[in-house]
Amino acid sequence: MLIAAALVGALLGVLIASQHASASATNYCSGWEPPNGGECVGPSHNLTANIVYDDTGSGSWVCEIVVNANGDGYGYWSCGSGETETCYGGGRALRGLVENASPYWLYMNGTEFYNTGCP
Amino acid sequence: MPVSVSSTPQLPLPGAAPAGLPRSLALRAAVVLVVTAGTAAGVATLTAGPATGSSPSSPPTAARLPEIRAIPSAESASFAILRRERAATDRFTAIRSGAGPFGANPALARSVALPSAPLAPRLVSVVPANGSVCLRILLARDLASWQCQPASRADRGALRVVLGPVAPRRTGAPPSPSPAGEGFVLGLVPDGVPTVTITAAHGLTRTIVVHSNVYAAQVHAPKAIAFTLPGHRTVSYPVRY
Repeated sequence: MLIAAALVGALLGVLIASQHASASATNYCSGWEPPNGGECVGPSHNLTANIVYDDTGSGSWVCEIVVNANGDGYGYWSCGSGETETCYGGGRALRGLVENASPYWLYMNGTEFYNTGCP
Repeated sequence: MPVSVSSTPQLPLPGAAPAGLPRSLALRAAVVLVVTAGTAAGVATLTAGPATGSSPSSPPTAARLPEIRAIPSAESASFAILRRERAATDRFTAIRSGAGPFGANPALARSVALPSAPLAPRLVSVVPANGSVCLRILLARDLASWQCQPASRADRGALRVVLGPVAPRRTGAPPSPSPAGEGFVLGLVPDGVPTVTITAAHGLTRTIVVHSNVYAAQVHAPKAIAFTLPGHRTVSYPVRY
């Protein structure tokens, strides 16, 4: 009985913790993107932030935008050296998009945040 | 740890439900369940990163650093804008309250007035962060871009950003930037850099005056930014959008 209670408790704890984690951030589009415009789109969430970064650490030029349910870009393209981030209000379903704007192959990542602060 | 349970049958207390389990055992089971659930949740939280996608890659440092409480001396030494007194016009309303990337603290921000242009942001602020310096660029009421660089790179003028409008896209294709279109170029340079030169398509150049360590201009098809650092070393950085 006590062992069963311990097992159920452990399972419950992991479930609660993973629910909390999945309610705040998701990595997407981790992988190599071809030079000069390689793109990848993430899943849909009510985004509060989208971060795009170059995992190679080279500080290469990367761009970020989000798209709505129709696939149209929302807001502005934001391009920077190595990493770029944009904060959103969290009131609409959006998908993050990573773009390699450098002349090299880059191992890129995007992270979508939701239910988090972003000033 | 072994748990001892008395083999002596226990009588239910008066008024207790006639359950098949003795009350003390049920109580112990409940305690075990709560403790193990809590422990498992703690372990799962500590061992998991904030991201839960299929990628093994860790989330960016931007999401993990604690918010700073004072402007790092190295940052105020390089940028006069971070040495001046904070004014009411430096404050901005957060899209969603909290720390900025790399532990950037909005309460330490200094804001800059920009020249007007169709693509000009509403407000630009220089925000010190934990080992980094950031530009916070308000684009719309619920839209703010953040660009950060390590302080050691920012004091060489490496913090720069190009913002661009969303262009019409081909049916079924994801949006893509228009490198040959208009872009709004912004950047932070250290003290002692009075102007920057932006090179655009076809070799056209434009000289931009720096105000409060910040330069900003709408440029057609920007390609590179060049300027001379104190000590007469000229640097050039590529940009595009």
